[in-house]
Amino acid sequence: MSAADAADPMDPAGRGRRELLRMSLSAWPSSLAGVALMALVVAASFLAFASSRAIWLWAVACLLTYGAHALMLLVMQRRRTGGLTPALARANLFLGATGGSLWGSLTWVVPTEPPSLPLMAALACGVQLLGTARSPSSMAMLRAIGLPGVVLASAGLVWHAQLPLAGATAFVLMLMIVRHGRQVRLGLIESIEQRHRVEALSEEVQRQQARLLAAERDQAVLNERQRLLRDMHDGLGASLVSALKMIELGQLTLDEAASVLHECLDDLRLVIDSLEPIEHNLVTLLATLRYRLGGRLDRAGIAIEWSMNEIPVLAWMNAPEALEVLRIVQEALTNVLKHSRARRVRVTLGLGVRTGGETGESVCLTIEDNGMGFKDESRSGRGLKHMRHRAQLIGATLEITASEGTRVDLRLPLQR
Amino acid sequence: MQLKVAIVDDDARYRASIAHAVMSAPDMALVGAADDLESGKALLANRSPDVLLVDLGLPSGSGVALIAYAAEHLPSCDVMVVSVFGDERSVLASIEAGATGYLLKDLSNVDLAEQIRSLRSGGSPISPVIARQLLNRFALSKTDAPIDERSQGSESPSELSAQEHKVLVLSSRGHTYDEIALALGVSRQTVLTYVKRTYRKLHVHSKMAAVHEARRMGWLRT
Repeated sequence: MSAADAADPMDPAGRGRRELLRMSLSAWPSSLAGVALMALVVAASFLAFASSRAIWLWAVACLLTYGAHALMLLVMQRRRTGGLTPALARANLFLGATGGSLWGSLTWVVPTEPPSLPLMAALACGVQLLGTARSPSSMAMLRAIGLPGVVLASAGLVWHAQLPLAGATAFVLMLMIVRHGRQVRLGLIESIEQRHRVEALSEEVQRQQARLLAAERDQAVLNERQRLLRDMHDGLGASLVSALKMIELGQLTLDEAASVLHECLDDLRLVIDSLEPIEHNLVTLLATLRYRLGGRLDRAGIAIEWSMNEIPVLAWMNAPEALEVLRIVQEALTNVLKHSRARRVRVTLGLGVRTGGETGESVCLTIEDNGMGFKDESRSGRGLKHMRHRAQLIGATLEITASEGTRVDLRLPLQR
Repeated sequence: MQLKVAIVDDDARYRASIAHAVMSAPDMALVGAADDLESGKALLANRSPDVLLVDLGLPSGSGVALIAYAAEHLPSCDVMVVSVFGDERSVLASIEAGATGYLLKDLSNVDLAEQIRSLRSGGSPISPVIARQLLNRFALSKTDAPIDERSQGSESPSELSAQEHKVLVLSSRGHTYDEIALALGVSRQTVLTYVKRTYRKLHVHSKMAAVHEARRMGWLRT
């Protein structure tokens, strides 16, 4: 009869039954309450039938059994997980069966005077009802407690008290109660199994989500690698290859070669700076650029006005976006250095209102010089086109105005 | 009296270029060059240079170990880290070990001599990223420092004064030494000495953190 409780833990139906048993074991306080109730009934029986010797023996056996059961449940409860060994499960069933038998045998030990026996039978039914319908014990436990009780109690009524009608009625009644208990348990098992199935399903969904996330991360790393490679290939690689070719052909002076190499180093620094973990901090990023290029502007006699205002953190700005911003600003400053003949350049960072019909605030980065500007944008060609393209890539807008001096306005969205 | 400069770097070409730069400066003399950790230690002991230039990637061990050795055995020596791309993370580790300056490898010879002179006269360079990292480091230490150390305020050997903190903030925002000097109402040289003091505090702070950790682990008795 312990087979049901020692079922294969991997089998979902077995899992349902095991959990039900676990629940019954963890419900030892209610079991204790049951024992207390039993003890009350026994005490009441004492008052009525104290003369009988058999009832004394019965009461002692009852108290010992229920006390032992409660103690065992308490121990198992203390052990918490892993408390449910097969041996303990068997002992649990055995004590349950003993308790049921004792209860059923009550009809055998009470005197056969008319008022006491129907009282006992009614009491047996009541206790049965309480025990089967309320406590969340397992199916095996239900059988272990219920069936000996039913058989012994009704047999006691029929043969010991010579009340066949009362015995039969009690038998049917108690069987119905056990049946009801069985129905209740089946429902309980079903709902537990359903919960397990839902849990398994949600675990599966979570596993798939984790797999998806990992794949996404791998893809992001791959994209980042490809981006860096493409970047190095188009920028650094191309410059180095063309410089090498010109040196081989003897078309590049040493100074020119040094300047190409310096440009390559600048570019490499830019890439490395963009990878620096500066927590989306645009101010530090720009500061780094000034640190790198400031000396060159100084030597060219161009004064820098550097004005950095507080701006919110741009959460979308990761290494790729940072690199685009750095390239745009570098290009703008290089233009100032090479073409503007300016004496002064002002770099301003701050919050501003978006223009051109768009609403909301944006981060404005302005690079403004007092040089000669340019008349025709197509003439200063590729550099500006690249800057626009880079701005577009990161969802920013770029405005270049040139009248007296050149002004580059880069507007970065707060969110993307 | 000439400044005694020594270089420890496993790149022979860079050693030669440093030697050239140092020898072309009238106020400096190269007293030794080594290519790994052990000969670097011997160089420190025998020639006691005023300025030591160290590359971090030495074949027999990290340059940080040599910096720590120099800080302990030759405290009068100024240590400069030599790095290719201002790899800011390793620069910070070097400062914690006791370095007070750093050099970029592609610096011109004139600039190099100038940087060495500036360091010797009590000033250290700083970059925005290093400033930002120092700010983070000191902000962190403020919250976990023992109460008795915190209450001493700017007198504490490992806490920043208000001026030093300002230098870090302005520097991390991209301002030049001159601009910072103007904002603080001090000279450019004073700004550089603030930076050097900050580096020394980080060094002391990391040593104190090590002692604190050792006590916590029960290696030392309080």
